[in-house]
Amino acid sequence: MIFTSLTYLVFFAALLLAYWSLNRKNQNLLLLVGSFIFYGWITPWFCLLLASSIIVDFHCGRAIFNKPHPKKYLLISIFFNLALLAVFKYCNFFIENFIEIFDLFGFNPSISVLNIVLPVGISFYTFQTLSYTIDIYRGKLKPIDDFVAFAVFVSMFPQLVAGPIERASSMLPQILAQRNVGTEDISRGIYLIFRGYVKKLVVADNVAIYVDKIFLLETANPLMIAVGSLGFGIQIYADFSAYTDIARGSARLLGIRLMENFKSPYLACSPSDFWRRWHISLSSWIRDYLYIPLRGSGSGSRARLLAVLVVTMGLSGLWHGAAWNFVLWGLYHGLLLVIYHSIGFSGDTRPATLPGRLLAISIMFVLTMAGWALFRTPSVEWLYDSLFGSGAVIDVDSINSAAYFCALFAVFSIPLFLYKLPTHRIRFQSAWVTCCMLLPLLLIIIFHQESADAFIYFQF
Amino acid sequence: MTAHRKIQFSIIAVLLVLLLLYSSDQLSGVSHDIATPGLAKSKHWVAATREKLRSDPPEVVVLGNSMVGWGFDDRLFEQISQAPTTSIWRKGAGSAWFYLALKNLILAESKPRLLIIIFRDNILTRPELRVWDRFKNDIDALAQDDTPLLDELAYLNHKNADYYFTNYLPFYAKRSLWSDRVKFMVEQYVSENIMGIEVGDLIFSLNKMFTSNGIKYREPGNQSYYQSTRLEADNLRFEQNVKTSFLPHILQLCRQLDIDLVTVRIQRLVDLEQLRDTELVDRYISDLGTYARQHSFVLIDSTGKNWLDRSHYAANDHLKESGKRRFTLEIYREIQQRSLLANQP
Repeated sequence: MIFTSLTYLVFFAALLLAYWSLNRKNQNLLLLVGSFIFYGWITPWFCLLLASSIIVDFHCGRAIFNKPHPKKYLLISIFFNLALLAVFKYCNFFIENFIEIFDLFGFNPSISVLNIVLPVGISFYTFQTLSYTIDIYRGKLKPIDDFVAFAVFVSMFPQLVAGPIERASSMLPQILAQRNVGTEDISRGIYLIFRGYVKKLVVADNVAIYVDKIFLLETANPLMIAVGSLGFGIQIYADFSAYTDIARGSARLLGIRLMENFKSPYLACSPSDFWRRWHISLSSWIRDYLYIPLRGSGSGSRARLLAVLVVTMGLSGLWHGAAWNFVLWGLYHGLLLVIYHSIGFSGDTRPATLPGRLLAISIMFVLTMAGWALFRTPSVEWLYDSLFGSGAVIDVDSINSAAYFCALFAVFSIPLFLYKLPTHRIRFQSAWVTCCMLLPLLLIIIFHQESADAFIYFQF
Repeated sequence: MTAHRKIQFSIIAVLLVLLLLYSSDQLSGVSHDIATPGLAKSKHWVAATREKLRSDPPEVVVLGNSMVGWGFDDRLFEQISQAPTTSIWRKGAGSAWFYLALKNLILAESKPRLLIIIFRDNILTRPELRVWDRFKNDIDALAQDDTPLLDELAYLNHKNADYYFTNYLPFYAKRSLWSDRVKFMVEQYVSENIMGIEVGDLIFSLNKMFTSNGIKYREPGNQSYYQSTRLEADNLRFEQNVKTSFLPHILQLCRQLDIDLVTVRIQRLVDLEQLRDTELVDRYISDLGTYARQHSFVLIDSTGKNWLDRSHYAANDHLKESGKRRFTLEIYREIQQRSLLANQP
């Protein structure tokens, strides 16, 4: 089910009505049933994978805590979840590359890619359950005995398909406790849902039309790539943060608070600052469960630290998609981290003066947008041809088109800036709510596209 | 703030937003043809086309949507067939518009010998497709005494949300006008204030850049794009859908006036590149072919005929000049083989 469909609105309204008439235990049961309906709405067999992940990690979590060889059960959990990803997400990527390598040496192996459909959200819920078993192994968490509550933690529909990737330590106490929803929660929840719809239907889907035009060209040129990357930077931020807003708003109406996933990422001063603001739930997951273990607790050499940074970011890129352009995008960010670390710009370092901060933000903005070209490109070869090929000529038509597209991007981005203005001032009980609701509604009515795209992060 | 003040404030806020939206015509101050309200623009087009048909009555009329505009070369067809030929098309038009254009425009002003309808996929039996929003202007500009039939086939006897949204939500009914207005204002601002060129030059650049340029579906990162071309199984049941379509009505008009009808299915790039499952579409086209034989009209299915290769295609299944030329020549040959045109080239 997609958040922007009428089906979801009807489903959510019906579920909400029933939810608030039940006690906590039955609320969890309803959430579980609702989540599986939500997840299996289009492809029911995806539910089997989700259920298997829930069952395996629930039992592994208990075994890690209670049985004599905890490492064995941790490895079972890790192996099972990574195997799900390997088969359903990366299998064809490996096969294709295997064929290409053999082809290079003149062999022609008689294997072909498999007809596998990528189950939506698999990267999100596998990471979420992995964090549960690893935290138990590390002694940071006690396993839960309530199977339904655990299943709700893994499958809760607002954040199931595209995050945020929640931690058990923050979610399980909320699922186990009695939930109360006040007027503040309702106002905030509705506000977040509306904000998400505007970001998706008004900003992301309209910008996407022009971004797709560029990346569908047979060959583009450096100017169009720059404009396409800028547009995609706006689109992916609006699209992904929209999903998070709708997820957080829906969860809030259910009495559950999800973490923030974005904190003005394009105002970052450095790559490490960017990753503390962009897809926070993933970057903190990568930091806690990949980067820190790889780096080791001791004071390793600087070269090792930097190498770990690059490898971690490469793997983070691969998490996004089974294609080389995603790996390159991750490596590009790894390289940026290494360069910034080398010039003493690591951690929380920020220029002391305002002009210095503005310069740092501008540089990081340009670097981030350049990275999006790697992320959005249909293939690495296409990007190379468009940047360096003989047909990549900047003519007057591309200059005119670039100016027009940039102006359209600016116009469609206005709601993003508007939402930055009042959020910290509005008291949600006040009459401003009317304005905050009415204007988005009008914008959605006027600018929503008939053929709205699915959320970008569904494919990951 | 007291509850009374809150209500007052809310009402004022609502009124201000409404005022802003309703007065958008005056505030924008644009006077270019593109910015005129949609219905007036559609009526203007109908009047101009009516005049053209009256002054140069065609023997061959090619009817369709942008697949005709960017897929068929009527000048070339006229040259080789030596039969006066006119293309009648509107961007994005569906079969409801095809029917109205035939009945109230083409046949009202002329009597062609041959009617060629160029379509893609299952559009001929999807009467409810492209009848709302900006397409409604084109339909309203042509509709005369057709309301009962339109209500029944295109508007599904008002059993859909669009009908109520359009009729009872003023913002919804005007949405395409406002979004077009925004785009036009941007076009005008960019061309005149930033680039120092005419709006027409900007549109020319955009067309050159994105309409006549080649595109790549096959790249892995673009494959989600072709998924939007997938068709619902329910919409591919020909026998069931033809009964509630405009196709029998189009046939009846042609039969009454003794006009030969040729329908041409254009090949989509996704099919050329074998990127979608065509089993149901193939069955649908086969049933359409049977129906055509039973009702004595011609179906030319260009899919799989190797008329076009990928170098002929531009964005949105439109054709480049080379593709247009090839497609037109092949249609001419097919029609010649069936002796539907008296003159030889």
